[in-house]
Amino acid sequence: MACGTIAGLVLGGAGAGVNAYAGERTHGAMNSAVNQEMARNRGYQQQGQQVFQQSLDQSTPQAAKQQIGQGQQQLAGLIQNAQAVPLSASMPSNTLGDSGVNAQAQQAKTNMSNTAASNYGGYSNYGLQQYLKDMQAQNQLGVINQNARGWANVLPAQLQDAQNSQQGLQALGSLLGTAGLVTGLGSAMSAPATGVSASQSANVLGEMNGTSYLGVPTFSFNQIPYPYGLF
Amino acid sequence: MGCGSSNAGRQMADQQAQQEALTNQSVANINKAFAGFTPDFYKGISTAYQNYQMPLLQQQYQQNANNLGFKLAGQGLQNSSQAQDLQNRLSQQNTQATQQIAQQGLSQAQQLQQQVGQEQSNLIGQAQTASNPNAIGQSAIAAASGFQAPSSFQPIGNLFANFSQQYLGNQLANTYNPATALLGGYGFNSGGSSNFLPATSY
Repeated sequence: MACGTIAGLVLGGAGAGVNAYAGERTHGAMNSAVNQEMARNRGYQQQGQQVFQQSLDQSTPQAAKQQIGQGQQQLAGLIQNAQAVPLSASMPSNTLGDSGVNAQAQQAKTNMSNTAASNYGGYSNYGLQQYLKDMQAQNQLGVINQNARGWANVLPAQLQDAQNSQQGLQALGSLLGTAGLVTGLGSAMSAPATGVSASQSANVLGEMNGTSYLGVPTFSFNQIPYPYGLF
Repeated sequence: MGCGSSNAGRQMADQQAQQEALTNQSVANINKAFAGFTPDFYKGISTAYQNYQMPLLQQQYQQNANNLGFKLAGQGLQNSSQAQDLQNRLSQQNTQATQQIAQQGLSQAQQLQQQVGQEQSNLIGQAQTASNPNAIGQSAIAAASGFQAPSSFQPIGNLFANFSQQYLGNQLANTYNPATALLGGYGFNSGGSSNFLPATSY
């Protein structure tokens, strides 16, 4: 076997190896991009779940009771403050009804009325607090969703980058393969001068390129080698 | 960058990371601008509302108390059970009015709280696509300043209308109604028509 043929074999093999390596690295880079995006997405999912869970925790009956109670306390305090302001007008004196019993009865009525009013009014705080916490959760989820969507839009471009990342190696592999082919071809073309038949050259080329041209030599031209199977 | 390889993905990733940072900064600016809206702030709104309305209520109370005293005195009913009843009703009306003012004060604070929350939400929505956190921050400060400005409250209406029309007017009218002249038998207002005070609605 001629040196040129061997060199062609070596170069062709090296080209195939480089191409395989480049393909593997491309595959790895694409997998890495997808895995990164999935991990990022899981992170956003966790953030969203936390926000939602926190919001949900404030919608329990216990939370409702607390918020209603808070509103009732607020209103009771406001009523108390309002009624603590001394009246500037004094009631006309009444010797009949201005008894302690009447005053106590009036005070009891006032207390009951205040309690009822603050109990009823406290419910408005529950609605407000629920509205506010829902809106806050919605805001946070909106930001998280926006970020997740933004990164999801980046993924196709990252995959394209990964796909193109090994172009240098792929070009080198192709170059080596072509060089091997040319070297082998050159060797085959020069075979008559060195006594190598065209059928032998064709077989060598066929081995080099992984395809069999064993049938081709039946068409061999004695002194004019023709790389029949190459095209 | 390799031979012929593109870096569009890296550029987009950089842009996305930058956008995320801008959004976070914008949201932080918004939250900072709205940090002053604490429970104490809203409590102050309720208190301010009360402080504005209570003198008006007291004015109305005084007017009604004076009218009641004047009419009772004019009819010699100061020391009657009817006087006691009317005084109790006036007191109850005053209690209900203070409750109403307190409720409205709380409602004022809650409405403002709702508006502030809504505005904050709108700004955060804008922040998601914002490219200039400072501009968003300025918008937030402007909005927050608008809410922090003193509110103009509407004066309360006549909170004793029920008392003056339904109770005081009717009671006194009935006192001199010949068809229901029950008190006449007890010797009240025996002076004839010269003591007649027409029932007046207030």
